[in-house]
Amino acid sequence: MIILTVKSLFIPSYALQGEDIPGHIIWDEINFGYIKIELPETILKKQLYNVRKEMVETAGNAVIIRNKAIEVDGYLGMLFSSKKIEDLAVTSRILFSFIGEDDVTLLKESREIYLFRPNIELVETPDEIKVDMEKRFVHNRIRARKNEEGTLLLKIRSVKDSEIQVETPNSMIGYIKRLLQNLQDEYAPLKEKYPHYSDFLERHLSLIEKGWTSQEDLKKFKQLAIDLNRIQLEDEDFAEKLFMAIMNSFWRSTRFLSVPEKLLKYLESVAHKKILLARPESVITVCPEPRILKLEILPSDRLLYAYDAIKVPDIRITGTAEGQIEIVKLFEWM
Amino acid sequence: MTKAPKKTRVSDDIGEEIYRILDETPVLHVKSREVSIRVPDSFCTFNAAASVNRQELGSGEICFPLDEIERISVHSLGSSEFARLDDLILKIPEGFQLSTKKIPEEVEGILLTFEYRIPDMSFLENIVKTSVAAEPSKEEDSYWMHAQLKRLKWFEDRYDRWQLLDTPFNVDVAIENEVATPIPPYFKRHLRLLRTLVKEQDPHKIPTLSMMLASSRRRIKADPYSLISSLEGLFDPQQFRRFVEVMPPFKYSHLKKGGEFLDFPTGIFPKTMSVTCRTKLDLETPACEGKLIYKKRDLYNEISKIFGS
Repeated sequence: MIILTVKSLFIPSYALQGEDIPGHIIWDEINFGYIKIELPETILKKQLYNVRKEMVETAGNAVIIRNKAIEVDGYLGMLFSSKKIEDLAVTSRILFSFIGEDDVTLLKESREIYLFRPNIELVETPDEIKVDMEKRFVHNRIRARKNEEGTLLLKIRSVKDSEIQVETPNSMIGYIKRLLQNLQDEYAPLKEKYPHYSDFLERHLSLIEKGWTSQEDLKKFKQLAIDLNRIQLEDEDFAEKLFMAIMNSFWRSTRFLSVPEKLLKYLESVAHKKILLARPESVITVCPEPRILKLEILPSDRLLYAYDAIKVPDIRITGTAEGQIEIVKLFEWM
Repeated sequence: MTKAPKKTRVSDDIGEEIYRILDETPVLHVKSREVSIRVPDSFCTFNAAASVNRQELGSGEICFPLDEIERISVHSLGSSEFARLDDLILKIPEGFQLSTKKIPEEVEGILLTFEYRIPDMSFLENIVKTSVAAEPSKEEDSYWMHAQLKRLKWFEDRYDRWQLLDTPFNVDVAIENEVATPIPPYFKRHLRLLRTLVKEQDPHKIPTLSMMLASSRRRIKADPYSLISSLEGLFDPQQFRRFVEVMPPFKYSHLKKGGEFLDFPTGIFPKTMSVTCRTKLDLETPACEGKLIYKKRDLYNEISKIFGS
């Protein structure tokens, strides 16, 4: 009887839905007919390494890699993609079989992977909200709950026909201008020394200027993050200089703020356990006359994946006096 | 005319040129080639062990017109094992020259070692795939890491030994919960009052706000500024190091505050710490996995201790 030993078979035990799942099999050099990988519906084949691509077969959810398709015996590299699915969490199983020329299964192994994604749901949305401008207190807040594992990044914005618009405070506009200028100054020598990264630096500047206003922007941020990963691999020297340039710009742009103020801003952006808010200082202007606020929440996860926007039902807002209040104060996170 | 498909670059140009020159020279018969690339400083060591073809010795020098090469060393192989033969190498304006005529009679073979920095490492993307978990595991707050070679055959066919050393992995360890949660509500209230007071322009409101601030200050047992400073100190790489552990075959390299893409970055209090880990890949180990353990409970306790919460 042929005993086939797998020296190493790896699939991570958990991943965020939508995340690429790497894996590999390393085995001793023993003759087999083919390797069969049976994938669950939640997982798709993305790339196989050390194989002749044209010789890889698929049959339904199974991938068949014939012995002769393996370029160097003993190793198969794998990259799968996981799907975003309706269920917030699911445990999926991948089956690996080594089959002999005579169709006898020589070895069968499986690996389970827990696929999860965070989600936000509106638990309670009041028809009316009253804001005490004196005490800066909001009565009857919107209650939202985060479900499942994983971090959510949230952007709260008003829709076009909302009577009350979410605004960026002047202090923030000033900060963005300063940051942009400082980044431009810091990036100028980098562009000169590393002209092949000019496009990357320009795209970063453009996104800093525009910020995250739509899910399209998020895709651009995501691409930038992917490019940054590649750069960190291929040129650590540039990556280090880029990091220093960004940190210097952050520091120079916020030096007018006291350290306690910076800590407060930090704490305000952490809304709840694993809920991060983008631009938590965004405000709305309220006045004693009731006006309608139409909001939507743009959720994203650590992969900067743009989930569908959540529309908040229309809310009538009144303030005890005219003034501005941070939009996050309208929410209670659970 | 149909355009030829663009060739995927899988190696550095200098190594390729050294390979070609050695392959084409009739004086040497290359028996083995070993390449070792150190990723952080893009440094490559190319070793070639070759037997000497004495019939062809008279054909002159072997020229390596590559000014990127920093050093070439030569050692003897065979009966006079591993004697240095540095006088065989001559630095010339365009690179180096190996004077084959100077190879001593008794030397049967030589080991040539080329050391150079690779100016463009963009080919790495075509040969190695690195992956890092975006989120930690629920059970033990660890992040998986995985490295795998995309190609093996090309290297197997050409080299007896090929290795990629210290391939970097940047793990963004999310720390915001452990930073924000232990800070007591009365401390946050104090910070808010401080901000309101600084911004207040109505002189009639200032005395009341000052009293409120003094009252909130009494609940804080130490100087708020020194508490914030102690918190800030935790993000110093040397201090934060104790909150992460990297499991073999990966190793810890360094860490720094993570950059924030989507929110207000202050440059002081990070939401993530970017931990660089490294591992080695070679033809025998074309793939490996590792993990980084984030000791979040320790960080939480440390911050709780600072704030007395």
